[in-house]
Amino acid sequence: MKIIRRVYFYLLSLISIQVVLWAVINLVRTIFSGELITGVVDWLAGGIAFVLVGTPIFLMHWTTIQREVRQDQDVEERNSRVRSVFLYAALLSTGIPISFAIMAILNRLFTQAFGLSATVAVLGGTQTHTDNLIAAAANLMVLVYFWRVLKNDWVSDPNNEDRREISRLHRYLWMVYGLGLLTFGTHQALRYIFTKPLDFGRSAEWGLAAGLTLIVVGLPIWLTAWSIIQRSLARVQERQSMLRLVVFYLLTLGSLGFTLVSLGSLAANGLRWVFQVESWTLPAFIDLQASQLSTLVLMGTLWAYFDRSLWGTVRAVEDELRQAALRRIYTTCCL
Amino acid sequence: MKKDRFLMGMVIGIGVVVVLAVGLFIARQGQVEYLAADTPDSVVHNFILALTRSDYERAYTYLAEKPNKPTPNQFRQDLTSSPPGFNQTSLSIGETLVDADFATVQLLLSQSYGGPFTERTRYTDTARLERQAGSWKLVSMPYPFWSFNWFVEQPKPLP
Repeated sequence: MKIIRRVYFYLLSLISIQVVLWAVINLVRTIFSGELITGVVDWLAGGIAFVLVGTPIFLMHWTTIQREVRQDQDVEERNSRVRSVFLYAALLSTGIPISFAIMAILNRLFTQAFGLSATVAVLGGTQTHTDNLIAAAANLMVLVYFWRVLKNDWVSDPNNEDRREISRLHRYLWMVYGLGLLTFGTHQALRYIFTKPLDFGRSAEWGLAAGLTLIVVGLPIWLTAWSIIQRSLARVQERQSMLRLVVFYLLTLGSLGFTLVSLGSLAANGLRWVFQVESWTLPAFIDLQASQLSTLVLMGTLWAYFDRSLWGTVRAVEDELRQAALRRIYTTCCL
Repeated sequence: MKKDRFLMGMVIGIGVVVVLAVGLFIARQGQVEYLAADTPDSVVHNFILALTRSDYERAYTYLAEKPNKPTPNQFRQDLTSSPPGFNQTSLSIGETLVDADFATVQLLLSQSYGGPFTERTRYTDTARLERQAGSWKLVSMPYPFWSFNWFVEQPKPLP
């Protein structure tokens, strides 16, 4: 029963803090918006209602949790897996909106720099810089608060294995998130390079603006998460973790799959060209296959990199039988 | 991590891709100007240029005089309210076929219907023109440079 009660209290805290956070963000946005007051009455009413309902629910549940943590002599409450999941989920649910707010600002700036209207920006085209800065600042405040709570938990018990596991999951989630942004962004930039420009219009620049935004935000996220992961490998549990293996298998096999599909499509069209089924010139072929070429270059590079990382992780497994089984999984998937 | 040359190579590669893409964008910024509107393709050129520069008054002057021609206000309103708009469409002018006082100009269009992350659709379409009082005027253009309400008889309400 204790675990159910714990899950309930942390879940309610997580939901209510999100409700309050976004209600406050919308309220502050209405203050800074230049709209007539009649247009924002609904927003104000909704925002105030959510703050009035959400704040007491959050305070009631969170203060109860924190009181029990302080009173708990054998640190069971502080070291519980549910608490760790809650704290890392709070960091993730505030960190990702911050990255989106930064992307929205950058995307509008890049879109304008490429001669397009900011309103057509893929990310935040309907928002303003003020809207995004408010969201980023509010999320940052909540993030810092929960970061400090988590830091105190780590100080009280630096060797808690449950917390280590959730921390590992959190690191890998950020790594995959950053890599996803970087991959989409680089694909757009490569596609722009391979695409032959037309006389009028900026549809290609529209994609480039979004691509550069994703690269600028995705690259630091990925590099930071990746360097933290690399540093964590000093511990043998990290090198041999199942999560690490699963992530590398998915990244390696996923990128290999995309590489093979784009290679197959390129080869098929290349043969149509060679056998003169199509009368393309080389620039026209590159232009038509811009997306497939970008995917091939990008996914091929990712596959080469993560394939290396995967085998490094497999070699770290001490049991030779298990090592052989892991190799067999890869070979079977490839077949 | 500092010794990971592959990683360093990837980061440098991404940097090169970004620099190359921005460099290409700068290199592709040729100044497009209005042409003498004496051929069908130059009329199409001027019409699209006027639209991309939001010069709706000038663009309106290239429309043919025919029944159910839109008013200048309707013309502007229809073009500005039609998604996906000119921002998401690229276009090149192709060959011109002239048959007495009628002409068709081939157009190559590229659009991203589902946003920039989806595949771009490339297709060809035509602009139709008519010679009126010695000048070439537009009778039809493909979407989004045209509205299907123009030069079409509006249905009359039932009695």
